[in-house]
Amino acid sequence: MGTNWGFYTTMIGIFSVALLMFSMEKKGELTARQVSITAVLAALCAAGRAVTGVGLLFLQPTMFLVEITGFVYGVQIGFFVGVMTPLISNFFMGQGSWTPFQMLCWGMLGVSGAVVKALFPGAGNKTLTTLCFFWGYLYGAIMDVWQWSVFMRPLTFKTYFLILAAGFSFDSLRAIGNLLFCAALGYQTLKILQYFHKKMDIQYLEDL
Amino acid sequence: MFDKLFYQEKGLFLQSLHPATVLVYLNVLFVLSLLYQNPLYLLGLFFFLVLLIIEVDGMEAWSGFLKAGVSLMLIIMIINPLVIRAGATIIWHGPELPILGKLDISMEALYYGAVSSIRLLVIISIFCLYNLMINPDKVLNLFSKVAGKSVLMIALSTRMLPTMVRDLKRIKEVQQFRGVDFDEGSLWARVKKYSCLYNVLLLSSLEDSLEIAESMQARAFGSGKRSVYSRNILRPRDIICMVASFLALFAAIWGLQYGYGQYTFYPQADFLIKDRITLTTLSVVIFYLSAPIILSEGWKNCRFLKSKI
Repeated sequence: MGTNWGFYTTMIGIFSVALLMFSMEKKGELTARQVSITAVLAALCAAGRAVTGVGLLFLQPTMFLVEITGFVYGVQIGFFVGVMTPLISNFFMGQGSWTPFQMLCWGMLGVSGAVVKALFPGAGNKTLTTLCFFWGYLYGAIMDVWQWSVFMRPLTFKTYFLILAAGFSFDSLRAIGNLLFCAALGYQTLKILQYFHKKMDIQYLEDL
Repeated sequence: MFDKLFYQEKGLFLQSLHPATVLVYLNVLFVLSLLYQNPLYLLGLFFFLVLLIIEVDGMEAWSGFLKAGVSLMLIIMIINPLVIRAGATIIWHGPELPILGKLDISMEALYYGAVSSIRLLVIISIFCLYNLMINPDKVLNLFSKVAGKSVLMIALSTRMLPTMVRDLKRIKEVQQFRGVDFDEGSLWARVKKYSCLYNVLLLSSLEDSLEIAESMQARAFGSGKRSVYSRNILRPRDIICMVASFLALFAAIWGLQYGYGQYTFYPQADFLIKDRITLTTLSVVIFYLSAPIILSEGWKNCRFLKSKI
């Protein structure tokens, strides 16, 4: 009872997000094109999350976009687009102590896209769709850890599973929404993003 | 509809503080709301926050925030008594359930649920206050020395989000002029029309992003060390508020060491007010925290003070 886990988990969330963002920025120099494409994609994802989040509740056509961004543009851009999506859409939907954990989840979603690219370079839309479906549940599970540690006492597995069970229908909705959106729009999105990836990839003669 | 929830420049004293001061102050409030277990202390913080919100003229925004928190509050208040067996005062012997075991609802668990929801209200109010007191651009500027590009990306895409929504409307209108009826046809046909909309939006915004990149390069982005245009001034009011918030934090931590602000719920709930020091500690902490309110009132009513801070 004495230790205040709600405080610790929130602080851990904030510090890990800050640290990750800092190290990702220092990982490599971002060019003007990379900066602007990250900003635009994050704005698009955030708009999708904010607009449909109100209208369609949990069917948010954004998770697949973040994942495909990670898949096409790599770890750095995937991570930043992911991290910024909840941050920016929460400016419009309501910031709170849930934001750092959401940022972590979405950032990892972008990174997972890049990991898929590294492991299976030839992966198509089907692999991404499956991953996106599981992320619907994984996201719920991670966010439940936050909710559980802040608002539940005692902190036992039983209370955690109860929270998980209480959110199960929402998580399923999210997972199915991800599946549908990714199956319907994933292929075109992949093509468009790859086209722009080619377009913004410049090599200077002196480096060759 | 959402306009009320965001920062609006109203020329208030609390909005004129340095962003670092506001961040320190709100962080102290946030840390206290998570550290305190005693319902009395949480209630004290809550009423204090109401005063602050009135001071920044934000009752309307606050009610919007509260509406969002109510559903989360209900979940907490329902689940807590259902799962917790530690309470001693049983008020209802329930039936045997498969996973949960025997469903006994105790007074203490109900009580804990209620206190948790007060904490939730406090946290929501703090974030509401953040939205009302501080210009988000100034906060970003504060961090731009450490992580300039992250901040730039966040600022860019925050600026771009409304453009995105406007673009979507524009594209939809263009499609409608060309004869596409979005309300017509089966569900599948409608989904197909909307997915076209999404494709155009994605393509056109990526095209735009290349233009932004070019204009950034034309303005010498990434050509050398970053220069800063606007600076925030650290005034006496900021120093007073910052010192007061640290004093509040120290007083609170000192009190917590001796158990003032701690509280045990199970098996039986503790006394709300153990002795006089419980109240004294609370009032000392609240006094230090109220420095911005006192200064704000002084700023409004006393010309001498206004000229000094």
